[in-house]
Amino acid sequence: MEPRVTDRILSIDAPRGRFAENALFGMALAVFVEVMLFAGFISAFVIVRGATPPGLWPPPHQPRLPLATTAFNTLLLLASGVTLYLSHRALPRRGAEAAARLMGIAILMGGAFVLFQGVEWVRLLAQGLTLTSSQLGAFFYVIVGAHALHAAAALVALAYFWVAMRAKRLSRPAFGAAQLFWYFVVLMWPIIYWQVYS
Amino acid sequence: MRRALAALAVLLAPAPALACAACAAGADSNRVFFIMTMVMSVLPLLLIGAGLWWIARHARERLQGEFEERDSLPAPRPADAAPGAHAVPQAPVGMARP
Repeated sequence: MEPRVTDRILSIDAPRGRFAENALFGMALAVFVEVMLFAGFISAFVIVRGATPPGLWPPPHQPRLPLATTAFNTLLLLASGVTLYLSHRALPRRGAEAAARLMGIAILMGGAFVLFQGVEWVRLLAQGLTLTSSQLGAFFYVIVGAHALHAAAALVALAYFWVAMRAKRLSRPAFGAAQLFWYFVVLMWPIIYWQVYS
Repeated sequence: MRRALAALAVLLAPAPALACAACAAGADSNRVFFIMTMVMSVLPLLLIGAGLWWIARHARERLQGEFEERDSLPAPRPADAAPGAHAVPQAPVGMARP
């Protein structure tokens, strides 16, 4: 017997009734939480910096954060985000091979960003900026470290999907979720750079 | 004598105790505190608003096909019902194809 019209509309089996893939929607919720986490970190940092008496920020006898090299690093991360977007666009138009090539470049640039940040950390630690040396050190390592952790996790996910794309067994919704997470990592960094490094 | 001098120093040199990181530096600190309070209050609302806008936009696009399919179906005819079977309820007037 032909189902009634209303049954068909309300059926949970109707794929066209869905407006978002589960993976994408779940990742959007996760990104919402992460944005609030970083907003809390940055808010606390800005308030503490604003409460410091004039002339005492950055704290005396503490190394200065590397503005120029981190600016270059920021450009690298932004370029990585743009390249991943180009990979996303290339997938249906130019095929998996071209998309995987662009995605590989994006992953390499993201990996270089994390690597350069690690090198900067080693240099700053050697100069005396540690987690307990000052409020600047505490906030710097917590905020930038949290971001680096997110970047590393996103890179692992992207590397997994890069392998899947090359093997032509890519799950598009899951790839979309990984992209969303990487865009979050990319777009959060300039705000951190602007607030923490300046 | 020493105690008297210490008491005199305490009485003559009062100053605010800078114990709280968020309230130590006066007006500028209060301004920053206010700005960040506003940011932290408005940001989740903005994000939720953006999410709802996105859902509404996509739901409208996706559900459009559903209604087109429904509208293209022929209206059920009473003669199609088998003898003795329960009558299939008619679609509301607004949903039936003219």
